[in-house]
Amino acid sequence: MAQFALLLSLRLRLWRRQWQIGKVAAVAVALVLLGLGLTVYLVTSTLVALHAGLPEDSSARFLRLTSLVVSALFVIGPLVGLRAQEYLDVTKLFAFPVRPITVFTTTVLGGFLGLSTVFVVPLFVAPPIARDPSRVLRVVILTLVYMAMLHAIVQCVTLGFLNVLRSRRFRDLSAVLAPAFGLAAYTAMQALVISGRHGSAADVLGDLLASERLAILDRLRFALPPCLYADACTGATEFGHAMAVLAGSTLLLVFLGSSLTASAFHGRVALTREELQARTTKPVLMERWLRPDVGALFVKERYVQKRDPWLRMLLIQQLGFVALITIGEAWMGRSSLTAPSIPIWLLLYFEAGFLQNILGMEGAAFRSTALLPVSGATVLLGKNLLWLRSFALGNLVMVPSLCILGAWLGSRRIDAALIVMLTAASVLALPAILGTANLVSVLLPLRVPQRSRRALGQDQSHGGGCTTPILRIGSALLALTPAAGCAIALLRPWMRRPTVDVAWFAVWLPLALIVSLGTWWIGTKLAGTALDARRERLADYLR
Amino acid sequence: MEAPDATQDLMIEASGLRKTFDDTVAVETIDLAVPAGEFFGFLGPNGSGKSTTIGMLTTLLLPDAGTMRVAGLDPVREPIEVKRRIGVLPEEIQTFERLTIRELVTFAGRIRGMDRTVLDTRREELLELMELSTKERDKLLVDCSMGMRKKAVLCSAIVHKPRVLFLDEPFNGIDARASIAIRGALDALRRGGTTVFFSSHILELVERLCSLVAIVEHGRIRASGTIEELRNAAGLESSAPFEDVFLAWLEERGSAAQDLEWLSSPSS
Repeated sequence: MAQFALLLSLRLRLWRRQWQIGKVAAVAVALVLLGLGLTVYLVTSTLVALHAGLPEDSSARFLRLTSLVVSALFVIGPLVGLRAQEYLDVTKLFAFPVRPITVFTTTVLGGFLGLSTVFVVPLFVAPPIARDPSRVLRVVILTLVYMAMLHAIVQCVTLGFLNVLRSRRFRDLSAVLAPAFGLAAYTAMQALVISGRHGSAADVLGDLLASERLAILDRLRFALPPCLYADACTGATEFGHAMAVLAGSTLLLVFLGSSLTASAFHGRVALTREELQARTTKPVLMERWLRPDVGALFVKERYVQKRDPWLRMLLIQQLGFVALITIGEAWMGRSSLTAPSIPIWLLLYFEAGFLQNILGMEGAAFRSTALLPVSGATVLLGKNLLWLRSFALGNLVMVPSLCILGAWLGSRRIDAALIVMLTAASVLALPAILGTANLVSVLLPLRVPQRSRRALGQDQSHGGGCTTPILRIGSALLALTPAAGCAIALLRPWMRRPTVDVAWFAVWLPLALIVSLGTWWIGTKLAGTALDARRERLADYLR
Repeated sequence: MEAPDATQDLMIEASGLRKTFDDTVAVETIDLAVPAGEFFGFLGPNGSGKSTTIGMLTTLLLPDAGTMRVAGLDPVREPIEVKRRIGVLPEEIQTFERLTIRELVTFAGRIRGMDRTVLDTRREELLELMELSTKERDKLLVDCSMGMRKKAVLCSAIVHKPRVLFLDEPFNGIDARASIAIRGALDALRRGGTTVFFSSHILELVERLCSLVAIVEHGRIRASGTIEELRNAAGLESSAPFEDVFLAWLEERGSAAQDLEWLSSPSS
């Protein structure tokens, strides 16, 4: 019992330590918590309102469905973000003389007493209570037992798949899958809304719940704990019966979890087998035409870009945001020129923001870069060539896609000439963006917190308060100025008369290219000199 | 530090090196003279300024005062040329984690302009010497053990056959098998005439490998010379272990475990 209390207090102390932070960060955390609270309130009240508008059968089915989805998210969420949930990995406690069952039960109880319960309980409790307020006590008791069961499931799954969850491959995969899932969910939601333009969200939901596809939930309601729990809340299943099943399952899970904890003690985290693929050292395309040192840097960056999940995650997030703005713009029904241009400038703005931290993205490995026998300008040149190639190819695909998507959603005519001009402008802008981004990456680098291997709550921040991020936002806007100048000049004749003026285009295209390349050349020269002078400081800062 | 033989070429020279971080004096004043081809041991307790000195000699840190020359060049004025001539195995391996071992060594050679054929041959020979299997050579560094990472970074530090090799605690956190492989590579380098600047806490290894040593404490050189010279100067017998020689030159020896009576009493 003493060990149980000690472990629980340790968990509590570690939890409290997360919040022992500076004043600015405390305000940010408070705002995040407030935001979470508001979100929970909004979602809960929406669920209650939707339930009120449904017939009894559909409402019961809806409760089963929401219970299933929330439970699934509750179980999957911590597993995907295991690194941020350090309490779930109990192996660090194995160095001490504690019994597996003590470790398991304290971890489950610690989770149960945490914030996740506070935020999830209202989602479960509110809809059935709103429908029948007399059941409040039974629903609350059922929900608390059910939450304990969910925490036990999370802990069992964590222990059962610890090797996989802690492997580098899984971390890489989850880092990419999480934003990809968010983007897919958003797109699916938009598709649902667009396809159901004829009716309200409640109508769409009513149709969905009435469809035969969800009848499986009725058939499986005794086998699936979330459905059993939902039915017990509405009174469709007897309270005592449901309590016995849920409490019994939780107890069984505790014994199973304890046994898994004991076996995890003897296990080790096995690294997944790497593909045995013989790597040739033949020069890759483009490396052939480059100086050996620049070529080597280009190839190194290419490997990193191909394999670093954080880079992919950032890119997916930003693309998702651009897609979101494209859809928003289409709904707002702006003019045919501004509607497609705004998302594209936003795309370029994100690209500028991303490129402004090409040194910071190296993290601690910058120390190795600092030891390379090349000048700062060469380091930047190697990186620039790769990112120029990647973003130019990306823009060649993204810009026409965004224009077509925006035109389709906004029911506008697809203007091929405008698409060509916007695509050209987006590619021409890249060298200018790189030029200024190089300077910012040397003068205002940001540490990338995800790279930190430190424990939760101790992730390195960028430091320097909010000055650096504000300066970076401004500088990203500044980076777009030369590109914007070129683009406006290119688009001017089109704005006057919406046809392509070939002569004007022939004059402005080379001029825009000269301005853009000139900006890159000057920016990179200055940034290279600054990098040579600041290597020591940067290596220390990014460590 | 004693003046070396004037007829020998000096591969590392430093005079009055000083480095501070805010209010902390990391290196008070360091004078060094390491002749070419020597295996030089740089010893000292934790926080004595060893890594800071190596940082300055390898161009990573700029000294506040003093002068230095590495492989005949000034690391402050000609950092790129110095980096072409040296190899570095830092204490903390912070490298490009998303490259495989093979790719890292290839990168280290190509960035120095090495011919691709020569580089391929050398790389495979080095990885063989380090007993890294074909499977391990294609493993990402992020998935490698500490020992494998050290072997990989050492290979990338010597693939261009540097004139001076800096090793900062190369045997920290690695097993006996990896240690033997690294020692094999260091022996080969010594035979090839590379000057090795070696910082380590493992005194047995220092005694076995190093032809010259310097003991540093509080950012100052306390003693330097051959191990025999240090032993004699400390007034110790010729059979005295090197650990005694090392401790004899330090100002602060630390407290003895015998002072804690409870620690030496029988366990309950």
